[in-house]
Amino acid sequence: MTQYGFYFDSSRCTGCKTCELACKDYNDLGADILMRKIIDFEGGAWNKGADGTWTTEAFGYSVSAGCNHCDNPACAMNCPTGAMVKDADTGLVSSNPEVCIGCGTCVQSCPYEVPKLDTAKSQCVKCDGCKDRVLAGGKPMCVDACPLHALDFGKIEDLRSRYGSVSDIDPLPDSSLTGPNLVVKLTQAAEGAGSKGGFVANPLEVA
Amino acid sequence: MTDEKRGFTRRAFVKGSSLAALAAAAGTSALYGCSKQDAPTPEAPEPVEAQADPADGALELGDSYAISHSADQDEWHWGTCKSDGCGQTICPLRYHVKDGAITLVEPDNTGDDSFEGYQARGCLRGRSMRQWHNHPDRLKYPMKRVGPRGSGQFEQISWEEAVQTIAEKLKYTIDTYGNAAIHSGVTAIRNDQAVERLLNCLGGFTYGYGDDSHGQMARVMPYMYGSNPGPNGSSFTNAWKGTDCDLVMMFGNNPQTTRMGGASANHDLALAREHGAEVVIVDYWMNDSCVGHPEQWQPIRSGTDAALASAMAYVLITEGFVDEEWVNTYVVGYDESTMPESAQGQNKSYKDYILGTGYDMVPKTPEWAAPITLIPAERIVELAHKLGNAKCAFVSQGWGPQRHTNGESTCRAIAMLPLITGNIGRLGTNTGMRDGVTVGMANPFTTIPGGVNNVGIGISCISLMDAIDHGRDFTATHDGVEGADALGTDIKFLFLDGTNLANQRGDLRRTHEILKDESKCEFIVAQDMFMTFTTNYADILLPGITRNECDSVIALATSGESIGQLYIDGFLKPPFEARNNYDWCTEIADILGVKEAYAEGRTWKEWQQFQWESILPYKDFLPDIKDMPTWEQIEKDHLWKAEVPLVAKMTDYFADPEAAPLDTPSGKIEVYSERLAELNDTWEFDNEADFISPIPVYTPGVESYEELTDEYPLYLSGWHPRGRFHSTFDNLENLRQATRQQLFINPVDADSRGIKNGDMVSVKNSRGEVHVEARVTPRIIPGQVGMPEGAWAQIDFDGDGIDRGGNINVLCNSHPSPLAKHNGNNSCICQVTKL
Repeated sequence: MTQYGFYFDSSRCTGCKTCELACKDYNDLGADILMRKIIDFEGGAWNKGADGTWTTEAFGYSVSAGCNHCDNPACAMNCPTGAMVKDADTGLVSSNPEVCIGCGTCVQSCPYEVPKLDTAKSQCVKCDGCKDRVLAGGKPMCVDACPLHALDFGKIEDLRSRYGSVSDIDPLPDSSLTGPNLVVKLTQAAEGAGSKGGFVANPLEVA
Repeated sequence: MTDEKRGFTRRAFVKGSSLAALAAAAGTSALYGCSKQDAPTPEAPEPVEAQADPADGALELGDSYAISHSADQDEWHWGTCKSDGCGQTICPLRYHVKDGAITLVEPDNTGDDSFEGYQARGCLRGRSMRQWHNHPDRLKYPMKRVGPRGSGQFEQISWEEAVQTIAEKLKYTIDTYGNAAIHSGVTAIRNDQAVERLLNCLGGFTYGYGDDSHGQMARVMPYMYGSNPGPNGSSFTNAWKGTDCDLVMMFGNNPQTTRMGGASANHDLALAREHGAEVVIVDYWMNDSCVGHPEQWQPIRSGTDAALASAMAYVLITEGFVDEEWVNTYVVGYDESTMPESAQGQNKSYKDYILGTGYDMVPKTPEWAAPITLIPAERIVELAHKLGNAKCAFVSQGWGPQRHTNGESTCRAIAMLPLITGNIGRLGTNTGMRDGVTVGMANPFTTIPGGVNNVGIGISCISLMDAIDHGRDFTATHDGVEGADALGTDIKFLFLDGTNLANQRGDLRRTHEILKDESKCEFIVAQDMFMTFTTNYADILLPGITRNECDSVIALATSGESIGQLYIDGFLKPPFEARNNYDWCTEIADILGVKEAYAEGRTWKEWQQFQWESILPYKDFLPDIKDMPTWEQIEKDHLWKAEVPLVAKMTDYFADPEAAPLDTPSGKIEVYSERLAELNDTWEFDNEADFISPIPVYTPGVESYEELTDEYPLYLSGWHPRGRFHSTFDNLENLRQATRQQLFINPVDADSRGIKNGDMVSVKNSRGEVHVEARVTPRIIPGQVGMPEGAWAQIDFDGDGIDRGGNINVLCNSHPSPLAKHNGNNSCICQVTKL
């Protein structure tokens, strides 16, 4: 099996959301469903000097988060109907609409909150890694969209040899949970950001 | 604009269509269904009604449609995003089309697609073009107002009635008040000059000079630098491409958002970082260009950039970082030795101001600037040292700092920093102004020639509401009338040509009071794609088209590394009865007997060819376009791109100032401007905070932070939105949800008000009240709140008068700047409370 995965460079990402909107355009999604999302992670204190001036440790960076097509995909492992499947050839995880009953178990299971319940379709939907494009020799729509080339996609061993093996970045869950096929470049501000009082600053945009 | 008022259009707009039926059958997630709380029209669309197809067979737009096939297999065409290149980053896009409707939009895939390549990938707005073009709220027919002006009550009329009415009103206005009583507002959708040419064929009109973006900088910088560099400096590519640039220092500049797509400054900033330049971004909020690199943010109090720049200059001068002999070679008025005769011996030089030996006699020390800027004095020293020690610094400013009433001085004060440190006039540097762009030559905005305006009188485009209200009192020395001593008339006929300007200028209630009064401006024609806050005031409302719905020639823009042209073959049919401006303007010209002069026998497409071919003779003299294709070739190829050599502005002058003098009176850079001194002596100002300084100084300006009160203790400023181009696209549900309209407020200010992230808050001052969602974030300096401009106002002026659309201009004032009479109104005092 060839396992595909994503690379994300948090030093290039500006949180512009072009990836989000390109994905929506391609997958015909409305305002209520995100298959790739930009999480704004912010924090840091402000300190007022005796003369009224300010200094700060404020930080902010964005994480472009999609499906990580995990080695141990909680969505597929918990799917009661077998609709959510990890493809044997590509390692991409996707839901079969013929089988999915929209029970939402995958939505509850995924620590990355990737699968979404499409209430209009009564089905769970998620990123399939733009499998059709990939099989045709291309890359996912979001990757080709990024104006700053902060995303990449490919065979996970190639990504790891090129970009390293980090796959944890706050506020994403611990990679030991599901074995995400994700490689991350940590920007300076993301080093230990969770322990510096960071919080998701745009919860209403990623809901 | 209340929901009831918008409702009139909905029934007419929602038409049955095969696409809608397809969507219903597929049960898709409603691509264009109004989201519950964000859409301008919160109620769900009415059920689709089956209706006969329009007689002309134009494309019908559905409420929604699904793609039941792989859209990337559909035929595709080259097209573009929207308009004047949102901030001059005009992206080519690939539109997939099936059965006349867009199914998918993909980015540029030509040329070098490596990170350092020139592929112009569009931004999130470009990727939302499907929702924009196919939106169910598109205006479909000409309409006339049937209720009180501003009430939003319209009914459908024929094109014949529309053009006949406009022609009659034009004739009446010219006969009764003269041509100067006509004005055409700037266009944002498709700046094609069709209306301008029509008005010029009829004898002219009062034109508006400048623009909302950078009117102050554009007006004042020629007094210092001459007209040659223009308001834009060196391209941002100077910050990395083979140069020695080791420091990028930006003031109020956020290229991530304002030059977002394409091979633009956003792209160059990222490359500069990776090529090793240190980056410092001075702004009152951690703007989007700092995201991922927050340590590069230097917080400052909004409107005080000139104080920081002056204090940095103090450090640089007193610590010997300035090569004064070098500076004096190029500059008038840096110190006494180069002062013009009229100002000698009076301690009026820039150095006298900085050192406290002239003007206010206050040394501009870091300790002086600290309480003004809220930046600790030692940090100001550190910033000055960074610049003084840089081998090659690229200093630039955005257009935010100049959008205060002190902006005409602020933008010059910032420009002093590269000038006194020698970071100017060579590769890798900038002029201290906005970083520049490279725009293709041919017909950058799909225009026809505007013609000659025989009225020859201009007013600041920002002072339009004043000119409607009391243009008869307008003079050159009080209101900045150019071309005459006085305007001599109120504006009585207004073309709103694809502009939402009423939404975009300070003090919306005042705008409402002026526009709704039919005795003031007697006739208003609006052309747009949608019903907006502004079109609400139209007497005749015409449905407009996009650049992809007609033959268009687009000049691509980058921040310096390439040039390009795009030909669009009008691959989309205008929906319903929407028409090209040129076509209905030609009909008006015909009624008024000037058709021949107007059209010269050309179709719209033939004008595009005419414009293209008028550039071709220059290609032998302009190396950048030497390979520009013929019309026949671009018609076939659609896209032409070429690399251009890296250049920096003003290199000729700095290489040899005698051989390449500037077009200032002295031929040199005029840090002290006698012309500005004279204007200050001869012009009239109503507000004591207004004056025109001959040298760059820090002055608080009108409604600065110094005017904060116990009642209104917070300072509010606005910035460019990500999900909109100013106000355009605010009706696209996906963009509204992706980039929610929010008020940024620091936890220091939010906690004391009991405000939590996501709470609805009231933002209020004496001019109005806005209800908006709060984003509690450390990304903004305490004491300051901010939100993106351009949200569509949703106000019932006859009701509670509260804006629920999040429009900052409800709160901002409309006071013009001293020299340019432009908008110094991106900031105001306010209070914020939890709702």
